[in-house]
Amino acid sequence: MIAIIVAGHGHIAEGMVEAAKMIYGGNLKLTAITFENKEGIEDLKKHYYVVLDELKPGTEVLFLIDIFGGSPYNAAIQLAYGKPNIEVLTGVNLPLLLEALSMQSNPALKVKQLAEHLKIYSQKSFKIFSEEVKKTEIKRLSQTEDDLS
Amino acid sequence: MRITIARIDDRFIHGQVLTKWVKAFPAERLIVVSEEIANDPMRKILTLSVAPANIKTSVVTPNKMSKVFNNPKYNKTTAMLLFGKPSEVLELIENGIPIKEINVGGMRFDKDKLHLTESVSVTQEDIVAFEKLHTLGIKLELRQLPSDTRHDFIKILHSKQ
Repeated sequence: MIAIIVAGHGHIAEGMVEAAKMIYGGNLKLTAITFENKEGIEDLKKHYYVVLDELKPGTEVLFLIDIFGGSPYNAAIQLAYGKPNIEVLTGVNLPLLLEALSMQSNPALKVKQLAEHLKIYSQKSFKIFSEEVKKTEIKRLSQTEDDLS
Repeated sequence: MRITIARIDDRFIHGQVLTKWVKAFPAERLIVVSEEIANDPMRKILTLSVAPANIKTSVVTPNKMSKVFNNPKYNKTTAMLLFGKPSEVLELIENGIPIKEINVGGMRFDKDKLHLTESVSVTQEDIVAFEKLHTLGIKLELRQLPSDTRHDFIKILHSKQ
């Protein structure tokens, strides 16, 4: 099972993990890392190590981080560099986290593959309501076989 | 038509929850059976606009569902049925549609409703329909997600009355 660590500025990770548990429930390997105002990269690394130290050596780990280049990211990459079992992904949002959770227990899946999948998936998580309605209307007009008779 | 699962959830197509049921009970079609939504063009289009991309989705009245079910064209079609209330499941069963088991997922709370669980509240009309379904030998299970434990819905209903 791939361990997932969500980290970001302020309490965003806590909120996201709470939201994911509300929707997803179940048995998850998921931790939120909070980054307070007065803290720095060294504090973040300490928080990360507390989580990593509890994992079996070699466990695959996916960091889901809010912003590329921010402190939560810069701390995570110091732990991830040169480690094939750790991957770091930025721009995390709730649909992406849910998708990651739905795949984390797949024993055949490597963390690098999961990250690649999520990168593609994230594009699909952005929707504009008026476009969705338009698409639905067009689909209904063009695919009459979808209608039951 | 072969029904993979019949579920009552008055949120109808509702994000991850529905996605999980579709994954757990694969079907070619997803059919929302509701007099109210089928007759409301706005709610119909909005319901269809949130349907999962990989499954053909329709919104029909219980009456149309009964006709469709018996159309030989759909003999081999698998379908998941999604209802808003038990009286409309009962209507189908009384029309001869062989539903043997119903998954009760979500029925929202409202004043004047009997609160059964965190996710299910029922009106007097719902209770009458559920009792009738039970009398007909239909198995009623309470389960929010496929991975949750199944609970005997009628037992919970009887314990709260």
